[in-house]
Amino acid sequence: MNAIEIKDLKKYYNKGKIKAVDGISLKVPKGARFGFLGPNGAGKTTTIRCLLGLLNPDGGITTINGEEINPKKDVKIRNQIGYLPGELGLYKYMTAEQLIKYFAKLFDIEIDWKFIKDVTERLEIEMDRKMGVLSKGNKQKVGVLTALMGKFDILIMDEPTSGLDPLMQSEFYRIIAERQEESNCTVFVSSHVLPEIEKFCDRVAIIKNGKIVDVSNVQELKKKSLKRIELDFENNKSLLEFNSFLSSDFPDAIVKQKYQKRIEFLLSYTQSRDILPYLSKNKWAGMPITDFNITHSTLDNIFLEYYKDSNSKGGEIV
Amino acid sequence: MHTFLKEIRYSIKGILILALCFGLFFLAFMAIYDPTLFEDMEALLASYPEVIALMVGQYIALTTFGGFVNVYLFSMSWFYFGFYFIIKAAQDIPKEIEDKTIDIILSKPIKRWKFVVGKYIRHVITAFIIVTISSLGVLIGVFAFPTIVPSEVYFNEIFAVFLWLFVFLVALISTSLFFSTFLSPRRALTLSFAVTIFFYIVGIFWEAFPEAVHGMRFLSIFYYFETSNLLVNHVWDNVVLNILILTGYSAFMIGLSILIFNKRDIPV
Repeated sequence: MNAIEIKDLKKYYNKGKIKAVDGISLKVPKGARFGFLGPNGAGKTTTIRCLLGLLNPDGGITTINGEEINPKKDVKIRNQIGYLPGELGLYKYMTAEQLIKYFAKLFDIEIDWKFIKDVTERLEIEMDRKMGVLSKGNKQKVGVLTALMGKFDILIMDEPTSGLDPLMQSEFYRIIAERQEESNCTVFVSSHVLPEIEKFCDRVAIIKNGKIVDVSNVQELKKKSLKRIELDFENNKSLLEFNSFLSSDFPDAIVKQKYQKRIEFLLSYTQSRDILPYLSKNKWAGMPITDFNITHSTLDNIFLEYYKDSNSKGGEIV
Repeated sequence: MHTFLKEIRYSIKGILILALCFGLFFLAFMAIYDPTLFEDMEALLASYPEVIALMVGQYIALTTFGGFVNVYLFSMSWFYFGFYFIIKAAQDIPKEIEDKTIDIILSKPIKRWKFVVGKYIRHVITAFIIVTISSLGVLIGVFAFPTIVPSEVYFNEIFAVFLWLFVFLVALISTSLFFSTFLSPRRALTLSFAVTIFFYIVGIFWEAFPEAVHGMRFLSIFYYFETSNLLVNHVWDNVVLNILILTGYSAFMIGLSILIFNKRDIPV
């Protein structure tokens, strides 16, 4: 059974001129760690807000745990959902502890203080300081706590680690993973940071301009994604020789920058493996490569690859 | 229920301080009441243009306690209290949207109408506290100052007018809260003030307009809060009816607010 199923969801603004979400369809299996990946303004938050009834969709069907719902009217279903908004707003005049108690009363949640204490310690949350004086990262930690405090079948998080330092990000995902192991809940994470989704999720949907570009598992995505390779040469002559080799042997390479002794290009996952021996062994105009760097390409570059390979039509891949 | 309890809990100190200030303000007014001193003032007011008289109540009798409180307290009460409630109610919901505190609340099983009613009740309770403490200020003044003869004070009228004032303030709150359900804080505030001033002009100075538009007065909540006939002439006609009309208006506005808030998007 699918925890979340969306069919042909639409949300338009300005009498249809702006298509924030344009007929997207998604299936999130129960117990999955599902990533919702897309650049800023792609429609991730709009989709989530439609799902939670904060926005009125212009069309589409939403199903939660097998039950077709009207997200706005069927408020009881939200008992099964934990939510961490992308742009978190917390009452400035409350401390984290007061906030927890207030939400517990408001949402009729029994507080598991042992769990709260554990998360508080691990994320180093200052429980007795008012929200108004906390930094963005510390507020985000409190937001995480409020999202996790109840019981839920589905946990929806919109850009959950924004403002958290790398150490806290790792700890945060560890906490989510433990929670999921305990309760077998479904985790739906929206993000524009590819490595974050790669590390945590097993399945991913890619959204751009309000349309789903692809839904695949993370391994497939890795294969589809481009690697960004930066090379430094001893001199310009070496670089020019390498460049002509690249054009002849790897014609699909996308050269992003080339100047003096440095080149930056994008290659597919498989081709980046193929080029490695040439980088390590070959000499260019008699000189070896002085330095190199291979990284994940940015999300925009991944989209370049997607748009190259597929035609997107009405939110479905054809 | 919890929404307004939380709001009351975290703002009760401020509300009590404000109410105490209003109570002391009303008490201070009691101290200046002196029938002999106000004889000349009454004559002076009578010589002013009619529009000034309309501003301070239709019937002017400063030498009586009822006439005095009518001019100095109740005819101006919308001004004393109104600003506070307009500012608070008009900005309430849009501020929650702007600060994004509404997202977590509405993402849980809380119906939108309950959210609006929670906000409304909070303001109604605040108005009740402020009006009650202000009425206590008047009550203390009646017994504390020698220029006021308690046996000449119509307590039933004074407290009826305080109840009327409370109902009127609730109507004012409903108007501002209505705008707050679909506008930004700034626009809601601007429109609330504009509508209140329009209501005031239409409801108070309607006689100064051409006869053809006199009917406009029925649109104004100020028309239904005319206390001088009761406090000066001791005539109870239309008091209950006006209170019921104001109550009905508030109920209509809150219904409309819920309807609009239910339909609107909560933007990012």
